[in-house]
Amino acid sequence: MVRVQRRFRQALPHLLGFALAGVTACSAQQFLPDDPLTRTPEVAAVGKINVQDINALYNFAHNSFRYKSPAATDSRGVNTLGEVPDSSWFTNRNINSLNIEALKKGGRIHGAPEPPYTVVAAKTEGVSTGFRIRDARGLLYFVKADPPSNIEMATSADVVGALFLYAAGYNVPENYVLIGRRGDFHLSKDAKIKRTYGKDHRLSETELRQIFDRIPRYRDGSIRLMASLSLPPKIAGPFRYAGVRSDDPNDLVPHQQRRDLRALEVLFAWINHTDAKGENSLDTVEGTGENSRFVHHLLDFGDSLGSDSDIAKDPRHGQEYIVLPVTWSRMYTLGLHSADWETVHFPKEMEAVGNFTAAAFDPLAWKTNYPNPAFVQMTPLDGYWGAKRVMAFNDEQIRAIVEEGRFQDPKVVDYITHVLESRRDAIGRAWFRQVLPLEGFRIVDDHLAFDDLAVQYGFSSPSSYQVNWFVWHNEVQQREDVLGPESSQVPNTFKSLAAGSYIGCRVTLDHADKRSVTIYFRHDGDNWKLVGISRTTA
Amino acid sequence: MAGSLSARAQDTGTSNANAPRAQAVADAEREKAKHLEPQAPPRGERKFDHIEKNIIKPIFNVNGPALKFGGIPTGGGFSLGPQYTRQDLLADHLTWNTYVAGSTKKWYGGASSFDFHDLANGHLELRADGGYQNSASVWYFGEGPNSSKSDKTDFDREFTTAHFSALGHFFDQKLTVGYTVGGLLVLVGPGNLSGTPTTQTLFTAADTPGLTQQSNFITGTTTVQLDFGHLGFSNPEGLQVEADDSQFFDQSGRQANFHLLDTEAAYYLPLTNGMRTLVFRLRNETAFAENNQVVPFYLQPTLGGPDDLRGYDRYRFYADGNSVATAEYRWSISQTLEMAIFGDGGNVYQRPGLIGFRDLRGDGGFGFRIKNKQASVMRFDVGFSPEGIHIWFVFNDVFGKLSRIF
Repeated sequence: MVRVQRRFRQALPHLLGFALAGVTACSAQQFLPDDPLTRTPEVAAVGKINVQDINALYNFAHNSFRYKSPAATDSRGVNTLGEVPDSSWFTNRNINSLNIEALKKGGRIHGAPEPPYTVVAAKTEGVSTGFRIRDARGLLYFVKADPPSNIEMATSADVVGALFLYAAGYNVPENYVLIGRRGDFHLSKDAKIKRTYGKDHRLSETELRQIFDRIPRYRDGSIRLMASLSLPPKIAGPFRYAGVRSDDPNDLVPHQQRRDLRALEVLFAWINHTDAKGENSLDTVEGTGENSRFVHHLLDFGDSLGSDSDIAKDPRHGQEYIVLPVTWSRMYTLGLHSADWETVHFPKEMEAVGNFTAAAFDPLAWKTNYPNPAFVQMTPLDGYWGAKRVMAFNDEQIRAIVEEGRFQDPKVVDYITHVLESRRDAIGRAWFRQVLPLEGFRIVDDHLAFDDLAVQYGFSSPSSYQVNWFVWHNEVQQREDVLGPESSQVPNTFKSLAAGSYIGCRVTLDHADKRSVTIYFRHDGDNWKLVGISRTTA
Repeated sequence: MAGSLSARAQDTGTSNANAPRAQAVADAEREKAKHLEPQAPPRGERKFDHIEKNIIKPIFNVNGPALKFGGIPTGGGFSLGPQYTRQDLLADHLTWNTYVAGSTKKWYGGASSFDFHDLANGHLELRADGGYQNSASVWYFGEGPNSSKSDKTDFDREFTTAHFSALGHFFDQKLTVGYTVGGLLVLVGPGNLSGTPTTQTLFTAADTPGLTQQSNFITGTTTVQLDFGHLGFSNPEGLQVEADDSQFFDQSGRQANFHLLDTEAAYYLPLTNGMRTLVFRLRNETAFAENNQVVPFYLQPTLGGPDDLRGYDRYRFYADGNSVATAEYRWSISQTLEMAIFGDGGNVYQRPGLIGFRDLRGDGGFGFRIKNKQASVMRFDVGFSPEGIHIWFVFNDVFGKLSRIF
């Protein structure tokens, strides 16, 4: 199996992982007629599928002691624009164009559970109370509760986190806040309980009552839960953040090199989802026969925002890994020197929030609970891609999604919205400094036009850029510089180029700045079509 | 097994002539499809799975046969033995544990317990246990605050016990009250520590009650635990109070009827979002003997060791009463490592009426704690006192629940 994986790994640079390195496997041309690819083709998943299991202890220990970032490598699985094509991992949802109703709905097409609810199974292990129900329509939902100390905190985090990640392009389950009465829940005579130490037993009314006794209630006696619709029945287990699945023909790019997985750290940093481990994911096989595909889902966002599922989030989470590296200087300073994040104010008066703040949030230094193999390999270009997804959410959209947490106190919505806005802006400021954040390249009236995201979002004032034009000889992958003024005007000599010709330009801020963007256009008869973008970082 | 180009790909117009990039990707996928293999963990994880299944789980099995680490009284050194635990009985409401253990200092013992928990909707716990402990070299320096370190002796202490307990848990486990009735058979003899005189050679029955003739007891212990605190990040937060009052009814006619009151209060004051903690602990143990009755030396409260005066030998001071006050400043180095500096002060007294500040002994020191959330998994404390430097490597919280040796 290792030999087979190695063979595919060697072929990858020539395939989807483009990064302006050449496509020698199929052609000497830099750009191919169908560039930029907007969707990754996928073939049927027809092999024998094993349910993958991840050893949580090994995964924790193995990654905790390999916390040092490996040498940065370019991401793969991106097209010639540096964007991630649609695939079974990721879908380019145009956040700007999503209306409020669509954002609130997300991928939730089945709706919240409909009463009465039949409890079909329960568990006693794990940090939070949980059981499974079938609703009036027979749909199966996994149900979790808040800790008694923080009603609304974990259940809202699970729902809100899923909606943000769905809008950003990822596959997530349908998570709903369920507010009901104890009388709405009935015990199935076949219900089983999975006990911590024993075998499965029939779930008794007494045990169900004990489970409900642990669920916090509102003053009117109603109970609040998070219900997650069961994913399709063909389960293949969680995915790993490194390597590829040997039973998925479409899984060609090592996960730690996928831009959509590396840059997931930026989105997780935004919503403070620190529990970013492989176990919180699930691969399913959807469709049948020629249409069967592995689909990769993110799961379990109860550790998002200010929640750590069973307690408010530890202030260290997001700031330090659990084990290593140790800040040894704290030993001899007796802890008398506090880091900024140690003294921030958390809104203790709002239990539904938990410990969530934008104070002392450093997007470039934010950490998951322990090193994630994909996240530690994130490059500035990956971070920039992720930051663009985050920055695409406007204030109104953020509020709309936070409202789906169904908080009773409007101040909680205000607070979380405000924190998310602040964290979003911090992310934009930090990552947009790593590259020239220029987007929307087009040629209009013989001039190069583009949008400066830093200016658009108010992080900097407009700048003047230098533009150096060249002709791109795609067959031999060589550039021929065109002498002339460093302006946005397309050189007159380009007007005589035939259809199918390529031109390009390098945009810089000034000569001292290492950041640049090189853009490639192809003459499509009437227009210059953008086909490639390459960036250098600070 | 080769896959075919999906409908999705075709929807996007990826045919050979017009879509060479997509076609190249699809070709690679088809090529992989010819060589698909069942998904398996990486080699390192497979090895770990094997080790976990065959070594780690059998050693630390929480429901079945396993190895027992500890299980003998403090001072016995590193101990190990087989144990058998069942936590799945009566729908997870009954835990049965049986073990025998021996230590590097040739102490040995064993016990069996049945713990019926989470009864009456989590409010009631019933427990029955019996055990035998042979502590072959318990240190004794003489009674009172002026005992000399140079009078260090050792004795062998054999306790055979049986207990029946009922505990009630209320207010979301914040209040626990209970009563334990038990029996204690005692046998004391010379210690086995080479190079250390036995207690019997240096002390007499006149100044050390119970040295030559021991009693057997019926015991009854009332327990009250109050937790006014709540969960923190590295340590609990708030006040915890605990009191045990144990009655000893001498069954051997040796005039050893008394009761022992053990009280402790610990206050955890979080600083900087719980990343630092100040902890204050007060503890008092006093034995009240009835008229003309005595407290045998092997049941007297002691001071010194990893849980109270950390700059002094274990069991350094014996008397009918002792008090100890401790202050600790703890600071988090990482989520799994905490440091502390501490100061302990305490004294012993020979009659309840002598409680006060005379003959105070003090120490200071520092420590490291390997943490699992709020609990210390391992503790490494170094205590400094006029009697020297003492290094403790133990597996408990310094301010844990009160423990009884009988």
